[in-house]
Parts: sequence; structure tokens; C-alpha cells
Amino acid sequence: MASSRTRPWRRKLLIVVVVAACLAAVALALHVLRLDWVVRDRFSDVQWALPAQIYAAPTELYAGRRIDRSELVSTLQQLGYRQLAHAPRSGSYALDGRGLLIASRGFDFWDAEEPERRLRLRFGDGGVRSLVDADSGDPLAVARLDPLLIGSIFPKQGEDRVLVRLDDVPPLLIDTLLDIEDRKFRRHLGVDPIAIGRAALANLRAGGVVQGGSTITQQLIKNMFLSSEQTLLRKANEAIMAVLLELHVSKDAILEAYLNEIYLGQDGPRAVHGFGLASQFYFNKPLDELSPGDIALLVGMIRGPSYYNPRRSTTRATDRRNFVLDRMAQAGLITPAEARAAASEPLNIRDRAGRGSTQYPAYVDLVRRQLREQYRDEGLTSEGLRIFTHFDPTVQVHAETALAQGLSQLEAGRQLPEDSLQGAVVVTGVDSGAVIAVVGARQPGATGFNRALDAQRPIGSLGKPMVYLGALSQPRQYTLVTPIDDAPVRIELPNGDVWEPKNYDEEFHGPTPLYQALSKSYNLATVHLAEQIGPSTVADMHVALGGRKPAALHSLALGAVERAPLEVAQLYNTLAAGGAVTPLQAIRAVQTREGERLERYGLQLRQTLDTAPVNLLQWAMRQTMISGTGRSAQRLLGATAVAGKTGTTDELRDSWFAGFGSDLQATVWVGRDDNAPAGLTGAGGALQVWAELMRRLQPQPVPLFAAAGVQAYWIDVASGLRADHNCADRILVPFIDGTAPEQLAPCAGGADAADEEPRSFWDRLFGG
Amino acid sequence: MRRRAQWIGLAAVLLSACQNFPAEERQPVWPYPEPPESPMPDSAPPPRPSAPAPTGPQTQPLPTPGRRPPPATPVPDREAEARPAPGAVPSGPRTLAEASGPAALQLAEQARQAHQSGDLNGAAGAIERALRIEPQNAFLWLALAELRREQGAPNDAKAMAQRAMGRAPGNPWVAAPAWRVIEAAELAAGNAAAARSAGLQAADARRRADQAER
Repeated sequence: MASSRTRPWRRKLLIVVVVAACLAAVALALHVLRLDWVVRDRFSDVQWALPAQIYAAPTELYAGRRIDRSELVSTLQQLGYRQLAHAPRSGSYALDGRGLLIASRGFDFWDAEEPERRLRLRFGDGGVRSLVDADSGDPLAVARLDPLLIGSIFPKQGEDRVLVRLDDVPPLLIDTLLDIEDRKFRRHLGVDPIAIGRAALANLRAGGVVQGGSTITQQLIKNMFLSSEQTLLRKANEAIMAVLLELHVSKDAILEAYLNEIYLGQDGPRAVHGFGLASQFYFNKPLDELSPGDIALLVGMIRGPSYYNPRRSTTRATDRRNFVLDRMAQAGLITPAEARAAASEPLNIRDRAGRGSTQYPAYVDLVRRQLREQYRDEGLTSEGLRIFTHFDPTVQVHAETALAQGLSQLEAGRQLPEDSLQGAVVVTGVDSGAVIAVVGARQPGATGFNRALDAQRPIGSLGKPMVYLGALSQPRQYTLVTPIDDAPVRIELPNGDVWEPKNYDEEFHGPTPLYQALSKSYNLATVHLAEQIGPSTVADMHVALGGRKPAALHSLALGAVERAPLEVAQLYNTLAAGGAVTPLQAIRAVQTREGERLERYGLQLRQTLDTAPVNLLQWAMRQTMISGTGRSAQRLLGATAVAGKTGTTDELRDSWFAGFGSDLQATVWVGRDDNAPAGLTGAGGALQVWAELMRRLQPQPVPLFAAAGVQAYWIDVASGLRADHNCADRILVPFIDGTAPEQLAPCAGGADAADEEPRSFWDRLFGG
Repeated sequence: MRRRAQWIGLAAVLLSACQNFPAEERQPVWPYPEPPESPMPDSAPPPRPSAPAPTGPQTQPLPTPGRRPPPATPVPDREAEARPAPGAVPSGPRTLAEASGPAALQLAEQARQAHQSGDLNGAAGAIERALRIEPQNAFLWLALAELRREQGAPNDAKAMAQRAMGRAPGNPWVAAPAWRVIEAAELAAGNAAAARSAGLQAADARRRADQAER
């Protein structure tokens, strides 16, 4: 009876259990189906979000190129080329007597494909004397090295990667990876129960997680879909999805995805994903050039990219690398001798870690801003666009060094507080309008406020050439020797205030030849001249030089307008280019990931000014360097004929210098972020940085008498009249045809004013 | 019709690249024109006979009260490159091939091929690359001017033609095609008078080139 009473109860329980089990099975099946859908959806079209990659201008090699061997070698090292006897494989070089042998990497440029080849170079006469294909012995007209990758545009908090195909991955890397992470990868079905059991046992014994039993497939699932929390449920899902993935996708596809997906480190806001980028990030090499030691380190880091980060702890990373090398030898992937040799080597990590996305944040910032005018953010961060720029890493490093050293020296020499000064540098190519280098902060690689683009500062005397250009554009009224009165100025402003500017030395210099008023940067003469031609003419000159139109104030003559260094560089680049505006560009071309050219940014040119007056102005700015406010720089520069202008603002808040040779223009700003007085004039501060930069860059000389319709005449400095051999102090001055003074100077036998009393400037002013 | 003429113009510039040239005989010196053979004359016109002989102490009509400026550093003669005197026999390279080194020449050839396959952007890119190697090469600027004109950018074309002449002052083999580009650009912009004047300049340069070749 009792049994008959309990039986229905038992039966009920059984039914409940069966129903529950069925429901659970259905729920599980649904769950698995959902996971299956997720896995298939994600893998049906494996589209990695590929950040746009930004490349520097490539190094061009040809006979006659002015570059010496050591400079080229450091370029090669920057590109991650290794010095190997006889340069046996691409990405290596060898010193070859006094020449150089380079096994170049091929590169698919936006305009043409550059083949991989061995180049033999001979040097002489300060440059490359010959360039020969080392294998065929034929002379080569021109070859270019692969361009330096200077940054990428990835989403905020985002993943960055350099996509690799399985075929491009060295077999040693794959074998090592499988040996360390998943020996049964080729055989298992996504999970490896024995490995899991072994790991669980080991973890139980140790009382914590010391070993992982995850297969490559499970790790891939974890990286792609799941958060990193360590729960049983997540583990279960991971295992299910791993099995599902194995059902749908081939082992090779899983491996390739893993190689591109695995997380290998953090770089500021950028997550380093995949071996392609990790190879660049840690070793500055493409994947196929990694040594066994490099491979051992990268594979070893999978277990703990942060813990084994070689930049954080050399010891931990080296131990880990050597452990993996041992395993490689045990597995027969390399010989024990190779393992020992590799273990005795240093880690060979590239010196300068990228910060965020790039070592050159100021330049990449400019590239990004120019791109955003044309492309959507998504396109930039996901489509793997290749951006070719005008960036020159060598010039950039010179600019960074000149600024950093210059500011430290200025602070030390003038007892300014340490690190109180900041600065910015913009270097442009005169003909092309190419932005070659941008320094936005004193510390190389510093991110944050990009002073080169965003520091809007009064330009001070940098605005004076626009006044003189306005005058010289009226050649019947003004020549370079027209006397301009450097006398007191008193201008009543519409609001009733009175404007009384002073000279920097607080003196009056009286009538001064126009060119000297500029080269010595006399404020009062400049204001008088600007009042003669009218402030609106001065404002027009800003526009003609490619700048924004400033308000036509009286004080515009003295640079009462705020501009960023990049904008100043545009103005001065136009001056250097003889009055032809070439809009400054950072980007040369944009290519899709498949190598199709999307966009080319060609050279644009607008002749907005007559060449002749600009040529005269260049000559006056040359005088700045010879005998004016820039002369302290000329000592550093030797015979290199450059032209430029100093700029100083009220209370020495801003120190500027902008100047050029015929090929390069550089603008330097020095000041303080809090806009407090920096205690530096343009000549005392920015000029020193500029001169050091130009000493390093060795620009081509400014052509001074080249413009059509300009002829040079000897002029007596004292009288401003025509001179001959008898004049001790004479100077060759360019004049627009028909405007040179005809009267001879006294020293040249001209009529002198002996019978007149010397007149003071008051006499002239009063017309006496 | 005009398009065809433009093609011919560019082809003429680039075709000159095809000529063989003896590499050894090339002048390695840039920029051209050759430096003047005689030094700059002290004072272009002779002293006027009316100028009386100096007497008495010299005065300074342009005084700088207070301080006398330090004597200006004499300009090194190197900087004082004079333009060729008007009326002198024109000189300078006559073709792209004569004007260019091997690297620029190869890139110009690459540009020609790109152009022939209809890739104007690729052609302009190759010329710009060549210009980085030889920025003073007027014929490269000329080629770029022709390309920009074909691309429908007459203002760029004009400015580049002007720059070409600026890089080879007094060279009629540059001036003649350069003025033709300017003529076409002015026509395209609807400036008939400017176009006519450019055409006359082109004819004049052509005449000078022909005379020199005879």
C-alpha cells in the first residue's frame, strides 16, 4: 500500500524531472542555436575594422642625391632594416667598402609598385655617386625605399591592427605558437578536455589560476565575443562556441583569425591586436623578418601581454622569451645551438615606443584633420585606407631636437624656470607646399595641445613684410632704398584712445632706407609706411599670401593679428615661392586597402602677386640675416643664403622666427602656454631654434636677383644713390626695371650736398 | 580639336625625353642657367657726363641719427647671379632630355606612359616626384603645366608655366611652350587680350629659339 501510495508521487517527480530536463534541453538547444547564429554571423564575412595607415614620404635614391652613408644607414635603421653581411634578404643592408648594399623591401605605392631588389650604392661629392642593381649590375635611375609607417587612425579606445594573411606568416611563428598554446590544434574539435582537466588539476593544487587549458579556438572566441570575466558560465559558452566555430570554419581560417585578433599589448588608448601590428610595435619589422628570438618573445607574451611587456620589465620578458626558446628547441623547431645563440641576444625592442597611435602626434593630427574634411570617421577607422603623406622623419627629428635643445639652452642661459617655455615648428617644401614636419610641443612625441596648429598667437613683427610687400608692389612710389621716416607715431583711434607705439630700443632712427627699416625691424618706420599705403592694403597682402583676412587696424602693421604657426608657415611659404600660393598639404594620396588610388592631392599653384616685388622683399629679408635682427643666426649657417624675419610681441610674450631658403621654409614659435611674458625677443628665442634647425637641414640658397624685370645695381649705403668702385660702403640692391635711382652717390662722383648743411629729420618733416 | 592640340603639346614636351643623351657629357651643375661668364658690372650705365666731380667732404642725405649702422656685409658675388643680358644669344637646355638627369628622365618617361594610358593623375604624380629631385628643371614644370591644363585647371597651368620660365630665364625653348600654355589658359578664362599677348610672346620666343638653332 505504502508503495502504491508513493508510486504516483514518484511518477509525478519523474514527470517533472523529465519535463524539466526536456525544457532545459530545449533551452540549451535554443541557446546553442543562438550562439551558432552569432558565430556564423561574425565569421560569414570576417571584416576586421582596419584603421587607416599613415605613411611618411619614401626615401628616394638616385645618383646625385645629397645624402651621406651614415644618414642613409640611420634611415634604414628607422625602417627596421638590419645590418647583415652581404644583405642576403629583404629588409637588410651591408656596409660595402665605402658603399652600401641594401636589400630593399618591395612596396605597393599609390602610383606604382616598387619591386624588392638589391641596391648597391657608392658615395662621393657629398652624396650618392652611383646606384646599381646589385644582381644584374645595371645602373638604376631611381629607386625608393618602403615608407615609414608613422601612425594609424583607429577608433577611440580602439583596436589597431596590421592585417596579415596566413601565407605571409613565417612557419616558425605558427609552429611555435601551436607548440606553446595548443599542441593538439590540428586534431581537436575546438576544446581539449584533457588539457582542461590537466589545467584544472594544476590550478586546484596551486589554489589559483596558474595554467590555462584553452585551445586556440577558445582563445579566439574569447577575444572576439566575450568579456574577460572568468565565470563558469562564460567558460561554458566559450567551449560551445569553439565547437560550433570548428564545425563551420576550417582550421586555417581559425588560425588566421587568431593571428590577427590576439591581444598583444596596450599603447596608450590603442590596443595592439594581432602579430602584424605587434611585430611593428615591438620590433619595427614586418612579420617575415622576425628572428627566432623575436618570435619566442611575441608568442610568450600571449599569456600576459602586460606582465611580460618588454618595455616594462626586460628581465621578465627575457626569461619568458628564453623559456619559449627552450621549448622551441625541445620541439625540434630550432637547434639547441640556435636557441642558445638567440637566448644570449638582447631583446632588440625598438627604442621609441609609439605613444597612442604615433611617435609624431602633431603631424598625424594635421593629417587627420585634413582627412576629416573628406572622409567619414568610420571610413577612416575601419576601411584600412593607406594615406601617403609628405612627412620626412629625418627633418622631423631635426626639428624636434632643435626645439627641445634650444629651449633648454635658452632657459639655462637666461635663468628662466626650467620647462617654462613651450614651442612649435612647421617645416614646408617651398615649391610643393608640402608640410614636411610639424612639432607641436617641446617633448618629442607628446600628445595633447598641438601648438603648431592650435596656438593662436599675435604674430608681431612677422606681420611687417606684408607692409613692405604692399609698398614694393607700387614700384613707382617705393623702392628698397626709398627713405622711410622712423619718427614718433601718434594715432588717434576712433574710440578716442591714442596709439603711440615705440621702437624696441625706444629710439628714433630718422629717415631709413626701406629695406633697413624691415631688416632692423623698426616699428615706427613700418607704421609710417603702413599709414601711407593704408591698413587695408596690408590686410590684402595677408590674403594674397594665402592667409585669412585680418581686420585692417592701424596696428596690423606691427602684427596685431593672431595666427597659428601653421598659418604663418603658409604666408612665409608664399613669400619664399615668389608670390605663388601653394596651399599647404600634408597628404599626397589616399589608396584603398586593395591598392586602388582613391584620391591624389596634386600640386596647386596660384600666382597672386607679381614675382618682382616679392623678389625685392626676399632680398630685404636676406638683409635681415646679413645685417639686421637675424644676423646672429648667420654665424651658425655659414655661407648658406637664407632670408627671414623675427617676430616679438608685447612684453616678450611670443618669440617668432619665420624664414626660408629656396627649397625649405621653417616657422618657429616660442612662448609660454599661460601666455605670460617669456622674456625672449624673436632674435633671442625662436631665431636660435630656427638657426640650429637650418644648420642641420642645409637649405638651398635664396635666389636674389632671379625674377624677370629685376636688375641689380650697386648702391651707396649712406646716400641710397648709385655707387661705383670708389664707394667704400656699397651694396648690390635689386630694382624693378626703370625704378633704380639714377643719381650718383657723392663717392661715385655725383653731386654732393657739400654746400648744404646736414639736415635733421625735423628739417625734412617740416619741409625746411 | 583643342584637346588634340593639348595632347600634341604635352607629347612634344615628353617626347623629347625619348632622345638618347650621353650621360657622361651632362653638366651635373644645377640650377641652370649657367652662371654669367663675366662678373656683374659695378654700375649698369656709365656715369652721366653731367655729373660734376665731387668736391668737399661727403655728407649723408640719408642719415641715421644717433647711430651709424655697421657697414653692411658685402653680398657674396655668388648671390649676385645676373639674368642674361637682353639681346644675348639664348642658351640653356632645349629639351627635357637635355635638361634632366637620369632619375628625373625616367620619371618623366613614366609620366608619359601614364598619360598615354589616360591616367593624368598618375602622370602628374610622377612629374611631381621628379620635381622633388630636380626642382629647378623648367621642362618638368612645363610638363606639369600641360597636364594641369588638360585636367581643366587653367590657373594652375598658367602659374606653373610662369614658374617654368622663372626657372630658366632667357631660355626661349622653355618660354615658347610656356607662353602657349598661358595663351590657352587665358583663352579658357575668357581673357582674349591676355591670350593674344601671350600668343605674341610665344611667337617671339619661338623666333629667338629658331635663330639660335640656325
